[in-house]
Amino acid sequence: MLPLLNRLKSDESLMLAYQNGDTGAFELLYRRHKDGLYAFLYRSCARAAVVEELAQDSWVGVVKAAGRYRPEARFKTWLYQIAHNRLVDHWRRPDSFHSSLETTLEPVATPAAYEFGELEQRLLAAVGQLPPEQQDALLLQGQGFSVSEVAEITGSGEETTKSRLRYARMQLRELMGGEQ
Amino acid sequence: MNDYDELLDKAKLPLPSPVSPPQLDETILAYARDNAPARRPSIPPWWFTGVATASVVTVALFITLPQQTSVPTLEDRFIELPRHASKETETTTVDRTTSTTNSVALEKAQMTVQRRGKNLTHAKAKPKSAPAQASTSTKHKVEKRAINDAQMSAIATEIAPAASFAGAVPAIDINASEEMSADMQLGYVSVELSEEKLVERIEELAEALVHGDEKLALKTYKSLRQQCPSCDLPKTLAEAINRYLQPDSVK
Repeated sequence: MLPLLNRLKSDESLMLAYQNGDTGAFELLYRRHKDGLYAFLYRSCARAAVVEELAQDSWVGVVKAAGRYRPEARFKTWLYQIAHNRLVDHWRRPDSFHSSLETTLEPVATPAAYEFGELEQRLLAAVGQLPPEQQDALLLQGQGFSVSEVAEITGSGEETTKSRLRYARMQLRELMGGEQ
Repeated sequence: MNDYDELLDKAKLPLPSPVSPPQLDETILAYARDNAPARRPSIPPWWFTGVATASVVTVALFITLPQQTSVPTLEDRFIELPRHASKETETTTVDRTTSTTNSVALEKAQMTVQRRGKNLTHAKAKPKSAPAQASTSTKHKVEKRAINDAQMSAIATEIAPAASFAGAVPAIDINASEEMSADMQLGYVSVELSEEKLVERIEELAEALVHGDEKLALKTYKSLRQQCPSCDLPKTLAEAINRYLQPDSVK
């Protein structure tokens, strides 16, 4: 009965339930967002080992900050904000790399390995060539966030975000158009 | 604009969408279970603490308050006096006043007799002009009186509220001051001194003055004035001597 009720609950309600010690609520919340977050991280750095580390760090961050969570913003925005910060930290590391520098993409090393189509591979490579800020804005919008939410996650102004999105599309068109 | 441009505008890029690996899911969920915030009780713990503390304090008060009243105090001893004591002392005979067991009752009897206009037949009564021929010198007598004054002052302050509360004659059991004369007690328990006692006192002080104990005499006289404001004593001891004593009374 309780799991069924939990399924009808919003992300914010589930997070508050977890705040009160309901681990089942967190499990449901995790299952709602785990694949989306994983895909976002994979598109940002395209290395399975790094993506797993970043995903784990992000969720651990959620668990650690659960006590302080206030449902003032959407849970999903908060989750991606944590993930974005982890991603930025990763890029700032001296030993890190940006996917735009990689020549080949590493496939996801799981039993249910994702079968990449040709278009997907080309597009991912093109996205990887974008500057990190433009790439972030484009990928976050691809996750269903509005411009204002993207601005909130990346910690920038709305106009800046719009500008980044415009340049990202233009550049991507050029990159993909040149190959076509 | 081709299909690709359309997808770009809608931000629905055909990018790879890998799923989270199961072992990662297990790791994260296990961590979340282990580090879940503590389940909050429906009633905050401080509420229980507050109620428990208040209950303990209330019970403690109920227990301690009756015990405090049952502890025998000096005041209780006055309250425990039989109610008929005051009547008894008022109607007692002179013989009864000679009893030394209850010095206060003795004094009360003396007062009663005085009020009736009878002569006080006191065991310690002595001639007005009698010299200090007992065993002690005049100096010793005055000193003793001064010490008794101090002791009685403290006791009178302590018993005053209890005495008025009990409505009974305070029965002072002062073992420490056995030598205290009855008239001295009267000077403290009562605020009034008879003329006779007053003269007696002044005589003693005059004798002390004559024997060179001026400081002690003046000090004792000062305290005597304070104890008996209704006696209307003069400001100085010299004036008192002039007023109350005959020229030949001091020896």
